[in-house]
Amino acid sequence: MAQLFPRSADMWFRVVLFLLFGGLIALFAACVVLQRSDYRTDEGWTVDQPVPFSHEHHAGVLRIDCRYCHDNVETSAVAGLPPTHTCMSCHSQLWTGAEMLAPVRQSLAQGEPLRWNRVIELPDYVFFHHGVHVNAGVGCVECHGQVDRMPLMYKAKPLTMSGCLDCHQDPAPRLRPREAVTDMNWQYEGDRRALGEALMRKYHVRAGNLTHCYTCHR
Amino acid sequence: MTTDRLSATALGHAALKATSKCSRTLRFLGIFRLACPSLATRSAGRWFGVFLPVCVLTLVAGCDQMARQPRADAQEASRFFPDGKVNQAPPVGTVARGELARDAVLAERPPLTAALLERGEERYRINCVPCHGLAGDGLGTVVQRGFPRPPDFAEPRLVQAPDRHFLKVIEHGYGVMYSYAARVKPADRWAIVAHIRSLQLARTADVKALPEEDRRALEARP
Ligand code: HEC
Ligand code: HEC
Ligand code: HEC
Ligand code: HEC
Ligand code: HEC
Ligand code: HEC
Repeated sequence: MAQLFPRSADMWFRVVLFLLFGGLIALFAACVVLQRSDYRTDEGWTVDQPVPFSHEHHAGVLRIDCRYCHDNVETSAVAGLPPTHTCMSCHSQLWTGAEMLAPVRQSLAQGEPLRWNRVIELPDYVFFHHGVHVNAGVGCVECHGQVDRMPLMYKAKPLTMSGCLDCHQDPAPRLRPREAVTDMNWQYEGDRRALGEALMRKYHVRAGNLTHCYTCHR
Repeated sequence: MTTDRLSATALGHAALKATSKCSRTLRFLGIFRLACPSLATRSAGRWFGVFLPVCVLTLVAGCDQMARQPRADAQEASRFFPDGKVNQAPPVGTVARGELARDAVLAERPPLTAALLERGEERYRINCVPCHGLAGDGLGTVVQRGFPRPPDFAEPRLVQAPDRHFLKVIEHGYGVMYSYAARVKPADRWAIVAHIRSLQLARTADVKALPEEDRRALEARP
């Protein structure tokens, strides 16, 4: 009977096996890299909005406090995007003819809310609460970065599970007095850990079970 | 970080995102495939019959979008309500739980405490400073950009105005100033009035009336 396989078949078989194996490893590596890249975390990407609202201008140059617009941030789970009424408390008098602000005026006239596209959003299976963090003395900067220098909003920190856990394991060195939570440029010369530990006692922060799965997945 | 980058690669972005969402599943499958040779020697056919559906199922499960669940989150759009909003206004004539108690606070002035003044200063800085300025002189940052200048709180007319007047301005607005009722809770309105009173005092008080220590600290400033 003639040989079914040439002599090189064995070699080819090994090459193919090797390539398959190598390919699997490469695929695995690619997945790991992708998983951590800003493609998945959306870090640093801006989003198209109906009005090109600038935090740099309003929170930075004009020094308007975050809570002027995000007024629920201390009391509720969501910080809340401002209603048109809030924009119009200034823009009823300022830049009243600007083309850029036409959607805002139209929204007020027709009673239709502006549809902002969300920039920072967790998956629905994660529970998050702003009030708890703000009242424990976690500054906006810790999670949102230097918002007062963002001409257009983008995600400055990846906000992955490991990011949350890094702080939940040891929140003390990242806490600040409640008065400074919206201050983007707050600095402290002394020992942050000592300050944080004092604040944890003052604000009754219980760090014990913050890393339990049910804290964030419930 | 620019919109250009976004639009140019929007398609690639979407595709890559979909791939990465399945990455865990693919990793999982990889482990199974490595284990296959040892299985092949035995009843490979039966194993394969079990293995293939498991693969397909895990692949499907891995790509399931638990991240966007069909539930109503605050401020989202809704297809259920006719006005298209998740956040619904309460029906006309209803009174929210605790609302009467919150409003009852307005009837009587709370006792003047350090905590009230502190709260008042914080709320004033958040809601009023952009226009009325830190000192209450009506020279906030927004006024410097062309917003009509509000009156100076140290004006005799406003020094003599009763507390009620300030409460009413916060609740209903005044002239070109909009209402702040939605953002400043009734209890905080009293706190803000207390702070405005202290601003008025600070602008008109005599330096000699200060305690010795404070006066020296003030005079030491350039
Ligand atoms: C003048 C009003 C105003 C002020 C002041 C303001 N914001 Fe905003 N903020 C907005 C509006 C409007 C949006 C939605 C448009 C956008 O995403 O750019 C927004 C969006 C955001 C978002 C993204 C939300 C999302 O998921 O889409 C974050 C985070 C945020 N603001 C944080 C802050 C912080 C921190 C401050 C204080 C330094 C601040 N904002 C001050 C009006 C304001
Ligand atoms: C406290 C006052 C205030 C509020 C509230 C406010 N703005 Fe402004 N905004 C200003 C001022 C002042 C300017 C002009 C700045 C200048 O002239 O340099 C401005 C400028 C702008 C511009 C012009 C473009 C730019 O950034 O230079 C846009 C767009 C804008 N605002 C959108 C909004 C939107 C949307 C809201 C509501 C979420 C809002 N603003 C709320 C005070 C305000
Ligand atoms: C511990 C981290 C953390 C801190 C501190 C924090 N945020 Fe957020 N913020 C988030 C996360 C996570 C989301 C996305 C929430 C979601 O999708 O459920 C978010 C969303 C937002 C949004 C848009 C969506 C919403 O909830 O309405 C705004 C506006 C916002 N944050 C403003 C602020 C401001 C202002 C502060 C400071 C006073 C602040 N945040 C402090 C983590 C944080
Ligand atoms: C910089 C520090 C810091 C970061 C980052 C942070 N947290 Fe927290 N978080 C805290 C602290 C401190 C507390 C405890 C507050 C208390 O007990 O008063 C807390 C409490 C919580 C709670 C409430 C626990 C409870 O039962 O009351 C939830 C939920 C939570 N965090 C979710 C998250 C999520 C999700 C993220 C990531 C997006 C995150 N946190 C990121 C500091 C942080
Ligand atoms: C401090 C809050 C927090 C705690 C505690 C926490 N998680 Fe998460 N978890 C998150 C966040 C935020 C995400 C979303 C990550 C993302 O979108 O990149 C997440 C995502 C996940 C995912 C989906 C994985 C993915 O990348 O899609 C799983 C599975 C998970 N968590 C399991 C757990 C388990 C198991 C525990 C307990 C050991 C736990 N989590 C504790 C915040 C938390
Ligand atoms: C967007 C700018 C702006 C903000 C923010 C603002 N005001 Fe005003 N306010 C004005 C202007 C302008 C006037 C003058 C209105 C007029 O005469 O038409 C005024 C007038 C007043 C007056 C004087 C009424 C009188 O009898 O003359 C009081 C009191 C007052 N504001 C209190 C407040 C308080 C308290 C806050 C904070 C909760 C606040 N304002 C926030 C712009 C503002």
